[in-house]
Amino acid sequence: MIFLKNLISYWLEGLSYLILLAALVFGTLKIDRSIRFKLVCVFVFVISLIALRISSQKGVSNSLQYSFIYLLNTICWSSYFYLLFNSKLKRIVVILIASGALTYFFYKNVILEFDLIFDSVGQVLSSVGIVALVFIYLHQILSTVKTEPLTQNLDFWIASSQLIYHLGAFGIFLTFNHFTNKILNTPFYNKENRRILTYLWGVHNVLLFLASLLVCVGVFWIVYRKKSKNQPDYKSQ
Amino acid sequence: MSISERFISYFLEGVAYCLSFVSILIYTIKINRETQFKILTGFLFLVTVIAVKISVRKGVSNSLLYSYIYLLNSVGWSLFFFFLFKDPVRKAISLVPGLITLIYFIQKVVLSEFDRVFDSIGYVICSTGIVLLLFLYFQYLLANVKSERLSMNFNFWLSCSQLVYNLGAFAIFLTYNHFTLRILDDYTPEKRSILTSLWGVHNLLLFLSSIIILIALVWISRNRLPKNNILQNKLAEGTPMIKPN
Repeated sequence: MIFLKNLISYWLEGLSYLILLAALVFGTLKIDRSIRFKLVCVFVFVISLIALRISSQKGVSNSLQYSFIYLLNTICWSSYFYLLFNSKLKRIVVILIASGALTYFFYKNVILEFDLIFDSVGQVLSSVGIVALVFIYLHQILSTVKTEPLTQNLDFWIASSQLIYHLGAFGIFLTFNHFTNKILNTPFYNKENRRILTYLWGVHNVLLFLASLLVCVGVFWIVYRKKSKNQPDYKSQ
Repeated sequence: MSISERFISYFLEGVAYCLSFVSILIYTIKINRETQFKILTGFLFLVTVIAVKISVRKGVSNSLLYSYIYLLNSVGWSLFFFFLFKDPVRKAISLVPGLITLIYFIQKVVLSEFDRVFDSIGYVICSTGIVLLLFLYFQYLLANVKSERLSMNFNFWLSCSQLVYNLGAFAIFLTYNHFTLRILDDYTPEKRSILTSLWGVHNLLLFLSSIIILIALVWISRNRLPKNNILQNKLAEGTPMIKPN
């Protein structure tokens, strides 16, 4: 049981990013070699390294690493949707969202003093921005309907996974700093309180794991359908 | 430490970056609005804010802020040369120093433990990359000789200023971590003052480079021909003009 708790609360984050990376690399090689997928692969690779580093280190503040994760996530998905969108207005929105998160990161981590506690505002800004971009993308695919089934569209699977993760983890991001401060300030700071906070992060990790599984399923589904289409139909001969 | 020494060692860095930023901003607004200058202005703005922040605060480690400076400098100059060069080979090469610095920064700052001491290796990688790009630019400039005077080329002035700074401060960057570690072992105010003076030399080089940029701005804006005069000069030189149909 302790092993499972440790796995979910500490290791699942790194593991999820690794699964996501593997699925994206496989999808890029087998389905679509567009530059946006390659770009996402590079960013997810760097984020995986940071997440693994966070998983392996204990007893030290990792707030700076989490700040870099939200910064990289913002740049990654902004670049991805910038390359995916087909109108100038949508691209301007992407630039504005990315600039907002970048400016906040710069203000918080460079201009202000180093903060040991998790930066909720930065994570929330990043998540809200990415969710907004996903909705703009959904609007784009609904307004330009194609004959190809939606399940054959890798972008759709990736956007859905990001929606699940960022919308689901939004509440956790929003409250994590508040809870950490509350626990640190209580006169009876104990392991129990800390454990609850660790469980809360475990829920976030489960959402991240679900999102990477979704990308995995999407990639394998598209590859499977492509293969079955390419196989010769013996019955008709 | 006298006021002038204090100014040179602590405040001159921020002042120099402010001067460079303002000069390039004016050049971008008034003379040339090409992408490379806009990008450089953006990056220099960020570096200036960090440098001013470093100058203002005391008694805390600023190694992380200096790491941000070398990263922004390297990425900024890589992008500057990327947009400046026209051929694909030089464009590709210009991205390499920025990428190497970025990878080193991620390894050192994000993945490794926080280090309170100045990161000499990061600065050396950044400076070496920028100097290589500058030599690539000079080679490009010599290969594409134009009738325009070299002193009217702002890119040339910028490159010279960076060469003065990066090549001059290279030895300081290379040895700073070593000296800091040595002094920390046997920490005395006198030894610290020597280290502060060494950083003052770096600041002087940075100030010199910003003065070069300022001189370039003044020189080019004074000697620049107004748009109407260009036509008159061409007519006077006998440049063939296309007749309108």
